[in-house]
Amino acid sequence: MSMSARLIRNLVAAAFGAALLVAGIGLFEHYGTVPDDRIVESQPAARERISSSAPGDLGTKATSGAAPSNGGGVVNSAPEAGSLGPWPQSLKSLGTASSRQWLSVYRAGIARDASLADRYMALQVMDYCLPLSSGLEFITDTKRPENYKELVRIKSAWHDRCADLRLVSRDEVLRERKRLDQDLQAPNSRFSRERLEELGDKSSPARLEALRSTLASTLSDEGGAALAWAGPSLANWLERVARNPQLQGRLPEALVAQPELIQHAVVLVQCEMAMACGNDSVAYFATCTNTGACGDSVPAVLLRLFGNQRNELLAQASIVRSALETKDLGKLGLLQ
Amino acid sequence: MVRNLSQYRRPLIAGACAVSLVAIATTWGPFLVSPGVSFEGDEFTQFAGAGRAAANVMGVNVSRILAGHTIRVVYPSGRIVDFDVAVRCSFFSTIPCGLRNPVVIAQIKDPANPTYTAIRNAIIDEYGPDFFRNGCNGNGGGSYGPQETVDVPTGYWESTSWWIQDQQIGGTTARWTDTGIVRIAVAGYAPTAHAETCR
Repeated sequence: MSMSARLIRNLVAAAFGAALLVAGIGLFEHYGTVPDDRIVESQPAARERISSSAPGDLGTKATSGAAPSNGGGVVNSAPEAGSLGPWPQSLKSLGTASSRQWLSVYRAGIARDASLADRYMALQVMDYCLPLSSGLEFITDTKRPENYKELVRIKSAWHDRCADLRLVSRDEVLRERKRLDQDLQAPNSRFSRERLEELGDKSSPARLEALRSTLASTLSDEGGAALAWAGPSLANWLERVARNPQLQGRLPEALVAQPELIQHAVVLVQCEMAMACGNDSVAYFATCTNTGACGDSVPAVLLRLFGNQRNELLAQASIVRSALETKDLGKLGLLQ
Repeated sequence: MVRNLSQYRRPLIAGACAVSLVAIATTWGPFLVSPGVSFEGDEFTQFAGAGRAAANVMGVNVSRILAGHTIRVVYPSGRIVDFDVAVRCSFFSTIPCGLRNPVVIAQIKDPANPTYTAIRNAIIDEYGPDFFRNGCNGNGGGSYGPQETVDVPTGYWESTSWWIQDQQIGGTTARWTDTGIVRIAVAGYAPTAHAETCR
């Protein structure tokens, strides 16, 4: 056989090998990531089914738990989704829930008769996954090469977690996100940004009192789990009071002494009482990819970054946690 | 002539390796470059990207950016955009800042080398040194983030063009109007844009 014929044969064989590999990868990508019950469907077919089906028709209709009148629990009855638990504890499960559970939460939240709590949860999972379909690259943390492996792991885990929700068209998700956000801003909504609006530098005493009242009722009614949505406002409140000579007498000395740590102390408590923050949680994924600071969990990252103020940070967190657990809101300056 | 599969083992492996390399290059390659923060894309992408830029610079301290603040982002393209902060920034949120109302306040023309220094110099060339001001560290309560930062006022240029027909001369006079909203520092390194605020 001539050299050229042999070369052609080898090239054909190489192309064949490449094709086999591509086909193998394609099969693995398809069948290795979609749930078993959709193996018989192509991805476009699955997308069509998700987009065209009526909300809640997979048994994801939300049921009300022991939530106040304007909310409701999220208990996904879809067999494949499993339960995230009653509201508001379900919020803590949300950050580590499976891809299917996120899709179920999405579907429950966009149902026309969904409770505000369901809508809030759905908005969260949309925000978990939308950045992945927005073309935003993950941070390249060239200054901390030791984090590279962790960033690769997170990127992969995050994509896997969003696999089911990403079968829903991005346009639909953006459309529903806008609608749900409007719903959540209704005047009587516990999630209303207006009710929990942060204080500006020159906020009036009336505005201060309005926020105090809202935070007091929210935390009293729903406990520490409410930090999932009210955490930033609580931190803002505590910082303002700690820095105001006329008001700081309301707070324990540890909070007044270092107001700049309060925001991080509240995050530590959020991670204990309201949100999943471990290395498999979306909060940790976001922390690592947003800031390049990685570790075993969100608290681990914070405690490492504030190593020289670790004790002060933990002391503040302990005060906030204790006040919420015992509902002694006076320690947070929230009683009149 | 009878040929079995073993005779094609090497080319088969070579083909598979080639495809693997291409896969690695195209799938992991973008991950190796700096995050692409641009002002392109839909509204959601713009806001998410700008918020992430702020978090990239400020790290966990991005939560010092509160509702009511303004952040300014300098993009590698030379575009400078202000955003209103509607929701306090959070480093552990997938969308770090709740932003709205993007306002393009300047556009540096085609920065040849979109590094921080190059863009900064281009801004000075185009808008004058007053575009940058000192004061964030001294007046605004500290500087955040590990990158080099510089302060930018929030405001706008009022310009008036004039032309004297007979003398064939003309020009533009400009006056900086400080809105006094917030003091901003911007920082970045190619090809990434970063933003920082202090007040």
